[in-house]
Amino acid sequence: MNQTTKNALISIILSTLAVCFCVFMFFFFYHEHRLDPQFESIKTLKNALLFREALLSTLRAVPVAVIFVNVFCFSVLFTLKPFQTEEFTYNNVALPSFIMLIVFIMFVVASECVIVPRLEKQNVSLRYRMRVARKAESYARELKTAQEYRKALSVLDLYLDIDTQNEGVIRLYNDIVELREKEEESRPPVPDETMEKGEKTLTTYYERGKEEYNRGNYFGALYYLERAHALHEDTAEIKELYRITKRQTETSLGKLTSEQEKRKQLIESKEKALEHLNKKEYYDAYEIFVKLHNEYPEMQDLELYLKEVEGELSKKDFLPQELKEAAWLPSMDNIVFLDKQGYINTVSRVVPYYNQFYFYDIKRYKMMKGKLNTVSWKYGKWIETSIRLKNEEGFRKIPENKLGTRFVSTYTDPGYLIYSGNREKLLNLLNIYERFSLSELLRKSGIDIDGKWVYLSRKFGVFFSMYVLTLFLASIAWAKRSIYEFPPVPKLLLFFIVVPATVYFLHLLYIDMNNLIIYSHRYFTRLMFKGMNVTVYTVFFNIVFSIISTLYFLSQRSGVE
Amino acid sequence: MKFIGRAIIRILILFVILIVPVGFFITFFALNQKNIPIWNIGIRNVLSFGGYYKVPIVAISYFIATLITVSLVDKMKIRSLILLHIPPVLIGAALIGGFYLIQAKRQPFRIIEHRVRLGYGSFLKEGVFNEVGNSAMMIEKNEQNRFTLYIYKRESNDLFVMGSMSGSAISIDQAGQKVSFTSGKRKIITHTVPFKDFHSYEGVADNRMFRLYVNQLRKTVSSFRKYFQQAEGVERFLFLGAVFISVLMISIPLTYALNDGGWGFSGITGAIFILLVLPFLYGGIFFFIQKMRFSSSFLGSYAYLFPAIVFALIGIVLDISVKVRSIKKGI
Repeated sequence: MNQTTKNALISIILSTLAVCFCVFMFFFFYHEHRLDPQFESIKTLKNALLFREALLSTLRAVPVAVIFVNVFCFSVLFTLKPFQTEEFTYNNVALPSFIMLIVFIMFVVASECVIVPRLEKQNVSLRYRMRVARKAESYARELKTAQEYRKALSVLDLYLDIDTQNEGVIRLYNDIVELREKEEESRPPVPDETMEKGEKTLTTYYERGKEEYNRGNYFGALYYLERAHALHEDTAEIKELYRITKRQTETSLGKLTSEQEKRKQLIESKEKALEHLNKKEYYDAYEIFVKLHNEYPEMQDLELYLKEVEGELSKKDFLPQELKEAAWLPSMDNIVFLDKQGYINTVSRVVPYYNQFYFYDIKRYKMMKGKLNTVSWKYGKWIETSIRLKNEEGFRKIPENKLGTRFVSTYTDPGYLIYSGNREKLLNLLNIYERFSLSELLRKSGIDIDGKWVYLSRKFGVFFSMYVLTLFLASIAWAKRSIYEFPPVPKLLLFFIVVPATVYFLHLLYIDMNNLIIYSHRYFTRLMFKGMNVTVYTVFFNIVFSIISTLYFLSQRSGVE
Repeated sequence: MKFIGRAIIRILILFVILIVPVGFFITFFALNQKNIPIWNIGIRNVLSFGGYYKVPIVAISYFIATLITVSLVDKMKIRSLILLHIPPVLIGAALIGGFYLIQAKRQPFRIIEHRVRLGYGSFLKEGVFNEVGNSAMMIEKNEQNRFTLYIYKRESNDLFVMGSMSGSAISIDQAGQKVSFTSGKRKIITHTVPFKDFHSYEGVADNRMFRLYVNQLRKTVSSFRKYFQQAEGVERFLFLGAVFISVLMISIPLTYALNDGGWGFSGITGAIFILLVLPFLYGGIFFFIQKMRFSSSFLGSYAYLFPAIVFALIGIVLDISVKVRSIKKGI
């Protein structure tokens, strides 16, 4: 590589970096100016968001920046002193420019297909977290006024997970802590049944059972010892403690239920519930435990069993209480989508939070014999691969024949469906893999999205625009290059004003022309080559333009005409 | 003569090259302005609609071709600025004359309602929810060639259905720019949607910066149109000729002044710059004329020619000043 080639390479790289930096700074200040004032206070995320927004805009502007830099280099830069040596040939600048163009195109391919969607996703997440933080602050103030201090603190904990630097929120947090302490001081002390701080963590059922027994909490101990006994039936120590505890609870039970019959019923019901629990028939177990727990709230073993069953059921079902607690969180509103069962589903609100999706006010529509049937549901939650629907509180077993009506089987993850009202945003979020694997499924869900081959054809339009316009405009720029030692300043200024805008519009025009080519595909395949792939068709035309521009680029000479 | 011949050939070649992209571009822009989705109306519709815009397509292609030719002309070979005006004037005169002979007697620059053959498919894609204003609409076609329309109103989270509609139940009012869907036998339900609520074209013609430019261009054209409508018959051609001359008189010396033998690309940059600035320049002069309330009574029945004459005079002054500057520089 000779010195001129090196200079050319350095000029192109540095000019591109400089232009991209200027573009980045411009967009940083532009987005800062346009940022929603409500996010101003969340400083931790604000700068991260602005950085990403500016980076995204810059990445989208890279094709235009590369074309402009090449025009500038061939029109002005390569005519300046460092290049005006006797050994200078056109090849010295053409070759590195061409190689760099290919490198930049490869970068744009990666950027368009992977980096930009990834950044878009991060931006969406940041914006949502900012919305959560804003909502958390205002909701905590409401809770403070309503004197619900414990809840207010848990909401503020959420805020502080997102932003730890907001002094106003920290002050609010401290105020609420003080208020809660005052409130607790005024209340009679409640014996703390939980383990004291610093106490050794009890890991086995037996240890916990023994601990509860020693405390005199026989029902609590019974729960743990029953579990321990079931696991280690032969261990004499466990067996003995279990027997004593059972006797103690039976004595206590005598205090609770004076009638012998009722006592017998309770023992039988509990045994039945335990049988269901062991058989993993959680709905049946839940039904009995809820009934027993309502009747005997003092029996801690029932409460613990109930919690265990609820934990198991939460894996395939949910309690509306969970949704009520999350209702204050910001949501995606008014979405509509089709499902695998042929229903049209409308959802008033969807709260996406920590990989959970909560649905509020769901309506399902289906045309049957010319009439529209509607079913409404208050709550829904995404569980595993479908949306579980319910109107009732608590858990209830669904009869086999009604199983299909209580679940919405969607074509895709709800993370995509929540953007059903914002198609453009959804399209920006999808990377090439998602576009290829999900296009058809999203279309089946009722989202207006191009097929994978049309998507690819459009992307090719961007890459070929970069290639064709760079070579074509650089060739014109070289053919009409400056022969001054330094070009006239007013004309150079005019160049910097007019050329970036012109290049930008030419890039848009090329993409429009590419869209026109995609559009003409349907007419072409009607006449000949029926079934020809649209990407092959589009690439063919673009390759023709590329060949013409390459030949034009190669036909340039070193000498001045 | 050799120079004039070469310049004419260059302008004509560029004119032919430019007419296709400019044609598509103007057609797309016009369709976009009418809120008609571009990619769903069929190529035949696009081409026939573009036919209505042949005058601006030809005029703009010719104008860009002229500016580029002048911006790249070798100043060392052409010493007379006046001579530089001749090729564009000759081609422009031929175009206006040709237009007059072919069409003007039948439709003398009539501003007509441009119609496109539209169907529901122009606005709605089947089987998916199309974003329409603050609602989403899905149309489904059944085996009996009847349609079911689902309308999801986002405000109320409700879905309405208009079932079993025939093709005639969908009416498109192009003048009023709205689509109406009607269904029901006893109780007739009609749902009307303005064109602008449908998702329309996004491209260069929809670009914010470009819209700003075209709106200025449109303001200038409508200012001219006021004077144009005052004239009748042949007078209109007289007016058009004066405007045409004035545009050339202003743009050619400016382009020539920016043409640089030592840096050819700056000439192209200059031509683009003039193209961008001209509508604003004309708009500003119109504004100035209207604000200052210049009397054009001395022109009598030719008062409509007043702005065109003003522009032509400005052009002559520009011509002279460029020439004087060239003489001073010794070119």
